[in-house]
Amino acid sequence: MAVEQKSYPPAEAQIQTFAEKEKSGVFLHPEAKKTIWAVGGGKGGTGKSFISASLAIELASQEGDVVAIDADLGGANLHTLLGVKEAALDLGDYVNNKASQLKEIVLPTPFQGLRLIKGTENFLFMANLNHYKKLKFIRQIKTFDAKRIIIDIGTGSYFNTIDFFVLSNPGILVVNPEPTSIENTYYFVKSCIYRILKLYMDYYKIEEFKKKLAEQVGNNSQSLYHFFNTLLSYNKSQARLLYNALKIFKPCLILNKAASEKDLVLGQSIAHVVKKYLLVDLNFLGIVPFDERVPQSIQNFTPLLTQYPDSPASQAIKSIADKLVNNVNQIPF
Amino acid sequence: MNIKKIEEMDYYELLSLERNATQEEIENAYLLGIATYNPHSLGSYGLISEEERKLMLSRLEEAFQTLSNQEKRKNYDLQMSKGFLLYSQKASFRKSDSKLEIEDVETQKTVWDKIKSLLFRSKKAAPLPVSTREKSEPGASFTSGPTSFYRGEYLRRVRENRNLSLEEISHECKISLAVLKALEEENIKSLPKGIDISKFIETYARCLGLHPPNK
Repeated sequence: MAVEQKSYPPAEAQIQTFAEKEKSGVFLHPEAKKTIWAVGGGKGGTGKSFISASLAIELASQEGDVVAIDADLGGANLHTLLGVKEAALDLGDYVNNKASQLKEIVLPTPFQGLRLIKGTENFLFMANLNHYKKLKFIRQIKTFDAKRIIIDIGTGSYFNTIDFFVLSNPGILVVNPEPTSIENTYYFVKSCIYRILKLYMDYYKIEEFKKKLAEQVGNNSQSLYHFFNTLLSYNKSQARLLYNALKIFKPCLILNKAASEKDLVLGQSIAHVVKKYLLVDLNFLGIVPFDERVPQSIQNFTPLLTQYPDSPASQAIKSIADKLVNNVNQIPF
Repeated sequence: MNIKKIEEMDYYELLSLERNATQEEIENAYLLGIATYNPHSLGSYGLISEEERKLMLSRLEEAFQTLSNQEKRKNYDLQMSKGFLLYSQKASFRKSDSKLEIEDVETQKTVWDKIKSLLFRSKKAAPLPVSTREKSEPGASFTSGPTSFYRGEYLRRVRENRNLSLEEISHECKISLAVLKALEEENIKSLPKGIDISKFIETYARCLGLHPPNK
């Protein structure tokens, strides 16, 4: 992993907020009273953009005042899925200072209550967003005037992708019932764990164990056990601090393109394994069944929820949206 | 912080169950575990090794066999409530995984043994022997409280009979060597001031697989 240049305190804007909220356990969550859901995962093609767009449409129809942000570093597609065709300022223009505020680049969509911040086609630039610009982006998301924000962060475990994910409440992982997708999901979760612990260790100057963390997280599945117990024997308060930081991280999981109801068990299995071996509470939201009408609707430039509202996939997405709004144990602000 | 390895988790933790889980919940949790960790499962692919998978499956089987049987579950819950399961059932000195065995140590006939036999016959409690050293330390005694049954010499002999060193016991019980030695020698002056001797004796006794009586 690239070492961040420390010409300023690391992750300063984030950490100040984190330090203030630490006692109440909202380290990873923004100040403003909104929910920010980042949809991501380790593998491409799992349907993250489809899930992001569908959830955004459903939530806007329920409550309105939703903003979808396309931060997919692998290529922006959200505007296509939401039927926004016109050229307009996008995230790249914001990053390049052609627009100073996010509100200058937000666009209306055909759906009432839903606005969009388009992703950029300059994906190389976004993938290598520098630390200061990333902080500025995150800060503005936190204070953006919207009740709910859904960010499609796309694929991969780039630093920036991981940071967007861990700063959301909650992050939503999208996985397919395939070994490659599941494997990449575990890599992604491990990357998030590493990033969270490193953020804290940077701020609290827990230098001695950084190397041990880097060695052990990658080694084997119960490596976090060894890491925390080693730290516990060295410094209990530091161990507790890092452990509590990790316990706040409670991502969600959606199993997309499910072949059958049996994949419900697969989703629960993934959550079980992550809890037991990675010490993370992964909340399994449910499956979205494989539906041939999904690619058909995309080809028709019409969202599935609009064209086939009664299809099994649409029903599943509505159910998941309900869970997100009502049942998911979101940490209060 | 409650971080445990798979082999250290109790059966409820392993199956992610509450203590008052119903039979149906136990069965469902077991089935989910088997579905997750069987060799053909996608759920655990890419994260755990083959050895870890086998360990998990065997632990799940143990957990289910115990918790799904009313009698076994009752005994298991009883053991947990008494804190026996603080110590791994796979510890080196354990002869059995199924239950705590009582060590058949031949007791040496001491003055205390004779007094005990008198106590058994008579309802009236006999005065307990108190060493001169103990007299100078009010409140600190090997002869009062629920652990008065376990004299230091007895604990030492049980330990030696099991071929255990003080170091091994220290590691298991998380009690320092110096304290363990003082307990065996009944050397109260060597013990740190203010400690609850009976608690330490109880912990040591449980570590050896003995059954201190309830308070």
